[in-house]
Amino acid sequence: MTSRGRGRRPRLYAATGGRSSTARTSVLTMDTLITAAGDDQGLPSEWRAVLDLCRPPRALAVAELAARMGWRLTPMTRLLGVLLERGLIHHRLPLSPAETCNVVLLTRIRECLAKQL
Amino acid sequence: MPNNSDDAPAQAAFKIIVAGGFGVGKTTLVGSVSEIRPLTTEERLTTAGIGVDDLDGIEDKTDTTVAMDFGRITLPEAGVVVYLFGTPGQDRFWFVWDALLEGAAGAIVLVDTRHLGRSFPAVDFFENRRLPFVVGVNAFDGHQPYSAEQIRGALRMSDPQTPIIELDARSRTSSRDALIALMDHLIDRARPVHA
Repeated sequence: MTSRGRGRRPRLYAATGGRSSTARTSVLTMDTLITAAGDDQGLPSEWRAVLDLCRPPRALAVAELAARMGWRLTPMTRLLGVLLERGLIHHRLPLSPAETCNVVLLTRIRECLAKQL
Repeated sequence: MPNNSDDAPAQAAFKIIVAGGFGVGKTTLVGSVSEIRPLTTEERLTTAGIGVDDLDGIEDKTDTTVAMDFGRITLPEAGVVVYLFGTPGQDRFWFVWDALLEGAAGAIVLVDTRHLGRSFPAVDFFENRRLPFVVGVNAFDGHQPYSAEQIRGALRMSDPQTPIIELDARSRTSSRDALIALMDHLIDRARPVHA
């Protein structure tokens, strides 16, 4: 539980500049990886705080950005939808069902886990 | 619009669920293998009539905040980041959280043999959803008295292929071995000829 998040959970209206949803929000699942893109001059400080967490080469899952900001998932997903629309982030979807059934990839993940842990 | 950005991150997430009853060691297991200290994220769910006592005439629909612990393991050579999501302790809430299950590759169901019943809902749920999983018997004091078959029976597991392993969630190597057992199970199921 992040203590710094307590009491500073944003109102959605403020976090997203008054836009409560976008068509692209639904793309961003909790395990979509996000990395910052482009120039963030003049953006609200909360937006920049989010972007600072995922400067390339760092990429963080939507859930991790929410946790590190101390926000719930829904407002974070909506803010990221706005950032995506404005070209301020790049995203990578989680592995698809076809990929998670791919023996070659699964075997590689297994080997890396065994080697790395 | 299921497209990735042109300059998308080099890696994609590989989601594993860690489930089991309250106090069974989910966050401990996540912390044992994660490269970051487990983090917590929250979501507000609307739960209609779930775990809510009927109080005459009161609208039985309620908002509940669920907290979820998670960690990650970056595997650059595989091009994936494994995210391990621990389900909230109150089973009745995470069962309605579809987004948590969406896209998951598999699950580890942790079992404490002193409280076997607490993990039955997770077993039942994953079997119904056809999400492959392994059962990890968390042997808190180094041993536990039941055979795999006794546990299989007690949890009413219907798929005889589902592995049951013993582990110590506090141990990194033991928790790693549980992850590898899950990977082996996923690989077996993904093979074209699956006995």
